[in-house]
Amino acid sequence: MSHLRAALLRLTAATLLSFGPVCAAEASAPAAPPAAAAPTSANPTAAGASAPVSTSAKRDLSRYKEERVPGGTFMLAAYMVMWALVAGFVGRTLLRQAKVEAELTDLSERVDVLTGHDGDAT
Amino acid sequence: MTTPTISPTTSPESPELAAAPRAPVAMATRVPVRTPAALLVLLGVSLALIEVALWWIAARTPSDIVLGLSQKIFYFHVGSAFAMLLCLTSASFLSLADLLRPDDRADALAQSLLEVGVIFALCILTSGPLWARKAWGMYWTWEPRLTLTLLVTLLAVSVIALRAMSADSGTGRRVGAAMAVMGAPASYLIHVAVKWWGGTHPQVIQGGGIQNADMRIAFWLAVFGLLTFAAALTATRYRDLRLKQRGRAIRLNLSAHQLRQRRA
Repeated sequence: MSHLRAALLRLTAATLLSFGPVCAAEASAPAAPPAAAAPTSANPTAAGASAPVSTSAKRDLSRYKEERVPGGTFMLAAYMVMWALVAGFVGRTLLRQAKVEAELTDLSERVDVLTGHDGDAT
Repeated sequence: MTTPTISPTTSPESPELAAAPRAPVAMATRVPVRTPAALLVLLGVSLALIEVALWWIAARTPSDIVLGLSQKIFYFHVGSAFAMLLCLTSASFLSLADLLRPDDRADALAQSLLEVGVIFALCILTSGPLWARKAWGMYWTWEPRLTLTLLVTLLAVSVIALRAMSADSGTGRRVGAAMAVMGAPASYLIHVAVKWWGGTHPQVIQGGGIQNADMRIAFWLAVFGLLTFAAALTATRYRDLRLKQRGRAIRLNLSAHQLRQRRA
């Protein structure tokens, strides 16, 4: 069942090769101003007002900085988790299959001994 | 069908021994252990489709204005959802068939589909929240489609756990099949959840479709790639379960043979 193992490696490599440059481009691109920077009454600094910035407005701005969600990282994480799940399933299937095949070989040998045949389990 | 295990201590008059096959033992050892060529072809096709889809998504599809790159989760998220719904619905019908008319092949196929369905359900339940974090500002919300998907996944996991714990038990098999039958109506409810009960989950396909040509191509490549990959995984697991069933049959045959020899 090495073909399944190879298949998963190919998929992981393909994901990284495809999305790596895309994520890198996103990371190096200048950050778009957050929506909160729009000139609104809730954001006096962005509106160009010379009035001192209130504590609540500062808190709001810091929250916006924290709330910037890295889309590329999330996308890469989603794809990696998906392939990890599939890899786990394939790995478990391969282990179970190896166990069953070993059991069948053992059984075949036992049958051959019993019947006196040369036997061919495959 | 589950075959009862006969140990050398089984009574010679037991019904299990009477039911044991009387064919020559050597015949039962003819098990095709080699991987079938059709399975390799299916796997190759699915991998090719997935690789092209990945390239298309990365190189050709535009990023969403609002969601940015996280929108690209959509292609494989929806493809996984298609695979999950198809797997669970098929498992449901096969389980019903197995309940009405017990058949080893239907049971093995239903079990394989259920396991692959759970894998894709877990893919949805992990990729969805990562997308939702960017789109909705939160990882999870108890809206109808998400909640139903979680419940159906838990149901499928419980069936798999039940089958794993009950091993060769006929009762475990029947109870598991009865639980798995719920997969088809539950999948239908997931499909219509947003339409019937509302919720925040977007309806791209039912709600107007994808407008951008490159996005549409990437989407269908991912869907067909994942569906064929799901088929290849199911076939691999099915083969594993069938080999296990044959191993059980050989063991039963062997035990019966040894018992008959001892009696003689």
